[in-house]
Amino acid sequence: MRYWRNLLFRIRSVLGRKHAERERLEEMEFHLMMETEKNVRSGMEPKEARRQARAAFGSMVSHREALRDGRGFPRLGAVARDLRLALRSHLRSPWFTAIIVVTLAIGIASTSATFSAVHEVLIRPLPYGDPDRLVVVTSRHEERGIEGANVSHPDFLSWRDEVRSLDGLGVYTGWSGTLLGEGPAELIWGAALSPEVFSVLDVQPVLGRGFRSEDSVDPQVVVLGHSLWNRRFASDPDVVGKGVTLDGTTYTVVGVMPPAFRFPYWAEAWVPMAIEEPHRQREARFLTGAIGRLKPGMKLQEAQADLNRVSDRLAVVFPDSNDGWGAQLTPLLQDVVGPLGPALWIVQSAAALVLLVVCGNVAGLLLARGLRRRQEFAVRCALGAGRRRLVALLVTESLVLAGMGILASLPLLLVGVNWLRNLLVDRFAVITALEVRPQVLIFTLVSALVATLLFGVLPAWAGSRLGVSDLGGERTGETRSTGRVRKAFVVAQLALVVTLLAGAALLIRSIRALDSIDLGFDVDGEVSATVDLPSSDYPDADTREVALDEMLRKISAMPGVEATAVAQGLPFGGWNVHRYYQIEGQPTTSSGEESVVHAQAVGTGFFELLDIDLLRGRPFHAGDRTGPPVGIVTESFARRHFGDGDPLGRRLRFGSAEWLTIVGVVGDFRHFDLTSATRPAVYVPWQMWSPTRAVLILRTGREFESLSPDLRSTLAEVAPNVAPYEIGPLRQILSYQTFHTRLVRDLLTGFATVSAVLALIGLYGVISFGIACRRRELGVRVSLGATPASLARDVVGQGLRLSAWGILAGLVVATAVSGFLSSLLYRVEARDPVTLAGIALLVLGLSICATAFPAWRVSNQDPTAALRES
Amino acid sequence: MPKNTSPTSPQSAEAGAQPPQEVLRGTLDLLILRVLDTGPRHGWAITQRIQQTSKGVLEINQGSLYPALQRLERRGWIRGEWRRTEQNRRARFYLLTPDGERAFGDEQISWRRYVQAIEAVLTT
Repeated sequence: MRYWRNLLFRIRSVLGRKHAERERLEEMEFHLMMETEKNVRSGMEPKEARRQARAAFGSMVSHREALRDGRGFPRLGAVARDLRLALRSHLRSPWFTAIIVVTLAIGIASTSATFSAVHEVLIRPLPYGDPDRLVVVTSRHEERGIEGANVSHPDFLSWRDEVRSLDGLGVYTGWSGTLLGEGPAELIWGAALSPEVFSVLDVQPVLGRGFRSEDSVDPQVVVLGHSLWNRRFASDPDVVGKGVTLDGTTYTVVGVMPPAFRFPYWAEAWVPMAIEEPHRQREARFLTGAIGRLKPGMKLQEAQADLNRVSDRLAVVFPDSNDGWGAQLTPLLQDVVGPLGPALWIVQSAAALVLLVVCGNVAGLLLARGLRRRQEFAVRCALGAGRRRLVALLVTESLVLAGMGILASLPLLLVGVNWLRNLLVDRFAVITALEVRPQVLIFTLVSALVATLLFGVLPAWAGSRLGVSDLGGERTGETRSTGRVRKAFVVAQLALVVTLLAGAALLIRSIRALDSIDLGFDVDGEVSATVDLPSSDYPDADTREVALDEMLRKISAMPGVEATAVAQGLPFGGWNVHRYYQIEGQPTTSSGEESVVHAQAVGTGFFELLDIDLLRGRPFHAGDRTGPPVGIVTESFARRHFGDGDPLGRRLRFGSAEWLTIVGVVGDFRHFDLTSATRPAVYVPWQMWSPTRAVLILRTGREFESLSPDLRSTLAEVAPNVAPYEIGPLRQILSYQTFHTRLVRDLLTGFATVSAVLALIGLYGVISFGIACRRRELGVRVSLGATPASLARDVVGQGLRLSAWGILAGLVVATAVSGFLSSLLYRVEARDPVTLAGIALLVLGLSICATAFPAWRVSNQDPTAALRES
Repeated sequence: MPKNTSPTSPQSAEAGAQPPQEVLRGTLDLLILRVLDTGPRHGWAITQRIQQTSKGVLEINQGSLYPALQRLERRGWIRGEWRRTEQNRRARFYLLTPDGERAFGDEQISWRRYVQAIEAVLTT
């Protein structure tokens, strides 16, 4: 009660401060007047009476000060005073302050910039209702080592109807269509959805509706994504009910989704999923992905057990198709983020280590300056400032530094976020924008505060331990406690640097190993573009062939183009189609990996263009268009089925199609991902399947940037209604394979370099400051006969002891945490002793350099100068 | 006349917790409460009243009077109010609040007890 009244009084007096001040003054004036009059009454001259009254009253100013302290918040006033004091003391040594502020800015900006990506990808909720309950369901077959496979439609129906732990389950499959209308033809990525998907995702359209089960019967309806609606329909509010031409077919728009909504991945248009005959097979585990919503409060493991129960039952009822097959649940976030998640956490941790190193440096600098300011502190002490008061002053100074550091970090933060935006946005579906959001700024503030605790409070405490003897000002030496703290900081910094460098080195070695993988084909100078030939414009194989021939002919005629070819899929382009096959005269394997083979149709010149080795026989030629059906197999396929025998002339077929005669064997080349072994493959002449989707490949000496507009206009000339996509150099497609490792390598190398420089500066600082403190001692030693060389040895020895401890600690830390990098490493162990030893030697060498300079100065200085000084 | 004969120096109003001054400060508070118990008065009148009734023994320094008044006001024991004096001048009068009357009673009792205790120590 009393507390509140007191507070109220103070607040009131702060609010009406001017008024209160005036009243106090008036009250005192009144008092003086009364006193003066009394004096006059007792017979004094008015002037003397007034003087006496004043004298009796005492200092008006000090009375008012006293009253002022009773009002308002004197502590706050003290804080404001400290802030002013701190700012002034920082401005007195601008260079010192600038170094600290820049160092802090680097640390704060790197953690905050990486956090902006972490926040965007991993923390910001996905644009669906209650996204934490969304799970992706995939098929798995433990015995065959298959994970993350699609689900078959009948399995989906069984799960949907029998599982008790889910609040809904839907299936979807990729879909795309060429949009015609105003503006150029554009290929729209979308998805075909079962009616449940929108309600499972729990997102309402902003216009119109989602899908109903009747839509499967009449599937010519489409729901538009917000971005598509903006871009191609000028955000027309009456778009619902209008017709849109996709792949030459008219679809009726029934709804528009809200801005952030995209599912799956980049899809921005949705059509109802039509269930066709091949989908009705239980073994047809292709095409569809499944998404479900856990019931509220349901744990992932419980739902998994529930799905296992249903899958086990299916395996009993349908042993032919379901034996060994189960369902696997993955949280949606994990599924969409994929390996980017761990990569970002690693980068974020590395950035935090940089901030720690920065804190170590700043703490070292502040401690050193604290020693120089010892006399000032001692005077403050003598005038009545307690240790707490001193610490408060020092901490305030640190806070001011942190504040300036934050301000200085903002431009760096923007640069960093920009860089990350160029690198990440739209390369991953999960990250569509990268901005400095309020959450990022809060993170910046919090990390700066934590940093202040580390670099400000600890040194302040150690540095404020003062005695009266410090008043003398002669002692400039370090006390035991500050010296220990400074040295501990340097050791910790070096340990962090060793950890960061070790991580960077492991990744650099991995990238080297990845770059030296023999791909089996040539990547330099190849450019590709994909076209979809819609059946409305190109109803049959003949029309498609005419169009493709025309495209290839025109591309070949472009300046600088050396060769062209066509294929269904490029290596690493994501083409992943396997077919059941049979070798003539050999028993077929009915299940397992041996029963299927990677297969695609390629045009003439494909192997030559990619420089894939032809080991036996011949490549495809123009005669294969009309001649008897032929095929080309890879070396590993030939070995699997014919051993050392001659594969040429043998026959194979896909399913029950016609027999193909093997006319050639090509070398194995990497197609799926860089690090896993090559898989056997079979190729057929393009015309045999005449697919509607074609990847056009060309080899050129020209720069991609100048070629790309030519390529687009050439294609538009031949087929104005076809929208080419995925236009890019093959090298770039390949680089996606190692993107995560490269991303982490680049950032870690950058962080490690910055922190190594900082830590070495820190070490240099400790050593040279130590020498400065010991100048007189060293001078005495020289005059007593010590040689400069022995002094230098002493100094270097001191530095090396520190760095040895740091390196040792760093090796321990690195060994403990490098396991987190495992998923990014290739052909190098996380605890690779050679790498660790190399880094240890590197840091040792750098430490010697950092200590050599102060040591050299010691051995060259005039020893007696220091003695004469005093 | 020495300026700082007062029991409370301006600094101690801020610092607070030294026991010997606390007792002394309490005395001033008690005296003020006593004076105001006889009716509302302004600051100068309070000093005059204390001087008169103590027959000049107690002299109140203004430097401690006004902080004391502020302290008592903050505590809710007295209330300040601008009024007209007999000479029709504007002055700030202080009144005892009901809380203040109660506090005056308590302070009086504890002061008596204190004086008796001191007396007992001195006389035995």
